[in-house]
Amino acid sequence: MNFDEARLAWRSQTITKDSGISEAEMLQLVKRESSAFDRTIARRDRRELITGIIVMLAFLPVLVTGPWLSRLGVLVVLVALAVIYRRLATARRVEESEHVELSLSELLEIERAKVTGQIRLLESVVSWYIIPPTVGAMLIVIGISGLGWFTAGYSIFALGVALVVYWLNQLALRHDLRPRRAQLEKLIHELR
Amino acid sequence: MRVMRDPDETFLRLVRENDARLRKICRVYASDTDAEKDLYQDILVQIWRALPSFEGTSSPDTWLYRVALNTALTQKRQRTARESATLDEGNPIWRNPIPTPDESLEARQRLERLYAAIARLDDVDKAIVMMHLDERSHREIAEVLGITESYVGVKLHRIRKTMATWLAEGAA
Repeated sequence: MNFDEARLAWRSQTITKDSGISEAEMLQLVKRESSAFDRTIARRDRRELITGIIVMLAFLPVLVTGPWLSRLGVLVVLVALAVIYRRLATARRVEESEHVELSLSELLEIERAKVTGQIRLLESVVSWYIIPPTVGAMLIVIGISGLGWFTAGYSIFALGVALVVYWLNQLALRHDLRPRRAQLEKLIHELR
Repeated sequence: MRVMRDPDETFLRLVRENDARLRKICRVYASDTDAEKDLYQDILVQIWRALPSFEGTSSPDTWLYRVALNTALTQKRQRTARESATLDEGNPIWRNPIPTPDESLEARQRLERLYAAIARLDDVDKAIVMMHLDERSHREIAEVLGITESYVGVKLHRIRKTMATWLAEGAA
């Protein structure tokens, strides 16, 4: 078969389909799928905001009546949570923006920039996601309980949690983000 | 074709007129039937979501190719983001193609050989060859991919040469 015969075969292939659903039903399903995505995103954002407010309210008594070191700890935790929320919300807004109507080369560049941004975010997770709230929580505990066995036990627990969070983030980098960037770079390379 | 007058009708007309094209794209980029169904559904959802961006500035064909190919090539990201939102696990949108009785065995085999040859190309070359087989001009292909027309020509020349060898191998 030569290329012209191939073109003929391609053009003459007939694709008909069974009458599974009507066009109106298909349209409804597509709309439902599309709005389900938007609702899921909105629900998640609302859930996170409510969680943040609950955490702030829980810390309020310590902020008002606690020892000065604990108050300082609460402030550190609250600022850290605000920074984390802001960084994650910004990253998600960028991640969830859709540009499928652009040319492939434009889209690939945007996708690569998004993934690179996410990689940087996770690579620096220790400095903005792990250390600040951990230090804040430690100050709260030291302020309330002093330097004793409880504080020592809590420190070990907090360190364990921090290590697990770090490990999970590195896992996402290794198994998801870096391969995805490599795939995008491969496509960009294929376009050149 | 203007979109905003009646988005529902515009969407249905686009899908109706291009269904065969969308299915070919799904077949070329999906690894199996399930992936084909998922991709088809993703493309339809993306066409619907991107509809407001279609202002009649480019031809419907070019716009549709962009949305479909971009979805196919970045599908993983979209499915990950959409996983929890998926409602129709059975893919009711997908309707199974029915083999047409007038298609001869030889024609089907020829088509299988062609798909097998396309499958050996890299992802960008698959897009180029599909549009070329659909008789899109170099200019349209360049618009969809965001490369120059002359580069489309260079790439096509190379692809045609490679595929001719593979198609001849398949026939042997």
